[in-house]
Amino acid sequence: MNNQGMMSQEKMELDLDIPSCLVQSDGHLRRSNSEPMINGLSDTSQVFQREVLRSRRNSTTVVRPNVVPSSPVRVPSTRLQRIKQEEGVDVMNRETAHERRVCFLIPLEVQAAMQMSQSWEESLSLVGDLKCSVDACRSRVATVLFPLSDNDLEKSSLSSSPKRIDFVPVSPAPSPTRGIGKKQCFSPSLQILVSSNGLTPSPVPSPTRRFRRSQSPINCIRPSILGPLKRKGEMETESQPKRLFQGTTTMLSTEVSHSPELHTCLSPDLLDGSLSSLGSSSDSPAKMEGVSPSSSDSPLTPLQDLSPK
Amino acid sequence: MDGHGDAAQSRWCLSQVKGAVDDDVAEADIISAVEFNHSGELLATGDRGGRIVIFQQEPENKSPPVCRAEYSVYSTFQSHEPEFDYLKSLEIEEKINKIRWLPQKNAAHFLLSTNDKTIKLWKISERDKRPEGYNLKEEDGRFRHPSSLTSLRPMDLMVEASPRRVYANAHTYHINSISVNSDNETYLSADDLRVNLWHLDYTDRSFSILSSNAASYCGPHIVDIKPTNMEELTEVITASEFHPLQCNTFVYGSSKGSVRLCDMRASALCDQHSKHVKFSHSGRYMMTRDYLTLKIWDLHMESQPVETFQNDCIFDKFECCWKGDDSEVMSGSYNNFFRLFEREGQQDVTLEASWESGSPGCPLKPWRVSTGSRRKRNEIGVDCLDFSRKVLYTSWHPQENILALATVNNLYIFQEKLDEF
Repeated sequence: MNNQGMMSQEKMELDLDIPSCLVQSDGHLRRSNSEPMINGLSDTSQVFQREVLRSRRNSTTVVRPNVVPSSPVRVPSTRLQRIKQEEGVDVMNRETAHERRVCFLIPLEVQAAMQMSQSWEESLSLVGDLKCSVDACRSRVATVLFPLSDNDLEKSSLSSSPKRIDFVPVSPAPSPTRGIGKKQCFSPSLQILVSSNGLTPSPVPSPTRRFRRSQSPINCIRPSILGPLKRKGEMETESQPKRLFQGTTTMLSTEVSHSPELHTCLSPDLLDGSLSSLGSSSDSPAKMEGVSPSSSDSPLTPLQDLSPK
Repeated sequence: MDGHGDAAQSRWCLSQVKGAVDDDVAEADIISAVEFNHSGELLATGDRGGRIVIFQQEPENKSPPVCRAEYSVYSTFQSHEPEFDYLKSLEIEEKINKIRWLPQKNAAHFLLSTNDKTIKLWKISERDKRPEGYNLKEEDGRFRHPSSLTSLRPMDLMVEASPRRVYANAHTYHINSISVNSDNETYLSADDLRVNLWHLDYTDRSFSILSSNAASYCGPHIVDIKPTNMEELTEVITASEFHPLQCNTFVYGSSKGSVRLCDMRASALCDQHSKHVKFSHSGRYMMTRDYLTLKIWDLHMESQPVETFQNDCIFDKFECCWKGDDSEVMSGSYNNFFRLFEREGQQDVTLEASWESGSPGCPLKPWRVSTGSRRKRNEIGVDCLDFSRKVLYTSWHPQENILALATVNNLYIFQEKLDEF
């Protein structure tokens, strides 16, 4: 995987001790890559504050072409080697952690399992150097984890599962306002995201609005370069003057990098409040033509050049 | 129809290019999945930022018949967000690894999208009316006429994307494939060491196969190649797919070069030799791609492939896809090349995905890849290939000769020239 190079451009600022095996040489937190890894925490159990982590997510990493993925000399067995290495660490830690054992009941419902993961954070700090590695079949098997000794590990009486269960709790249950049930609505004719009640953004930007409101990430998405607007590279065989052009991805990316506390979003309010102010900004690297979303009688021509100069 | 053999030009021409052409590419914009739906009317793309953009094919326009494929943005939404695994202190990327459409059963469209850990079922539906008129009185106090209350009024078309199911916490390793079963009720998801079987309606469990052979029981998975002792690990699962017609048959390929065809009724396995698998639309054939060759297998003949094509893609995981009638296959390559293989005549052509090298509607000029480091007009030495520019993700329209493929951050749509004009 090629995440190493890209990861190096993002900084993770945490004032907690990070296990050395998880930290790259340049001090950044390792990014999950594609190899199978069964790995709990090695020496110290760390609980990372979610708030701290959230702050890094808004920067878009710019990938320079020469950093972009791999030369074909990469050896495919690297992944296997890494898996084994991780597992080796895992085994070693389990062997050294024979003093303490913890038993967990895995309930069938995901709900309860999510709550479990909350209590894990508390338990882990008590457990200390116990290495817990489990499979992610926790929501499917109700069983007791963790035998009492290394020997027992092999002949555990888990009848409905393989000899060892690895438990991987993912981050705790997402906020109930996230994910399920939240619609994201898009208007193909206007080529913008709209709120779920169907209302299009108000045509007149508030003159008092200078700064973007903090938006809940639920309702917003970072706009993709593929849509909803045409870019320089797009070569339609016929022009489509009815298309509307709103804020550009480039613009918003730039915005985001200046205000990391704000999730990027493309909400009707946002667009509408920002269009005129940003469009006239001379130091904005992105060229953009502010267009009122509601004016349908003015002919709109496709933007020819949106790339930053 | 001409074959590919014409050196001057191919049948294919560039139709559209989507995305920015900046040199600086934001990581979030890198495309990581491309998939036509079953009718070809919709084209979904996923990117590393966890977003999905769906394009819709516009009705055929009347002017030059060569312009047939016109795709415009129909819907866009955030499918996955980054998450954090507290136990492992690892970030889970929001990058979309795969998109698979469900066959359409009603007005709404459904697709499955997955990142490394979580699969989601999305419902894409249109809304062109909204209720209005809840107030009983006008602004000035007059009572409104009863007929004007709470009615549905037309509005601008709005496309809603709503998550219907979230299938989480079933994969320890990174998901590389999802595949919808022909029964339209189940689907499989595969990571490096396991394949899980899901029922679309149930998110809290995956299903396993009880087999009379105790040794092949995999716990909550339908395939589990994880050895008891991880020191013995020698291969990982690279891809997995259901047979398009037989709901009990699926394949999975491994990094070691084997493909296993599995029958869930009997837990029967048979070995082939390859790496990346794709069933043909008919279900009769299977295409596999390994480091250097593309092979077409007849499922009834296990011993050897019926056709073999040389392909020069090594190490990277290039997707390959079938034409709707299974007569041709396509695979991406380096240098933003893509290759089309015609099965009947055993011919192949190499084309380039570049918006500089041709205007829309003009036929593409085939490339030749030669040994050494020559660089001539439409000929390039293998040493000069740019390995950082790859066409990893491809999809072929199921009914028309329209190809969608992704370079790093651009979506290219190619179409076959129509002969009549």
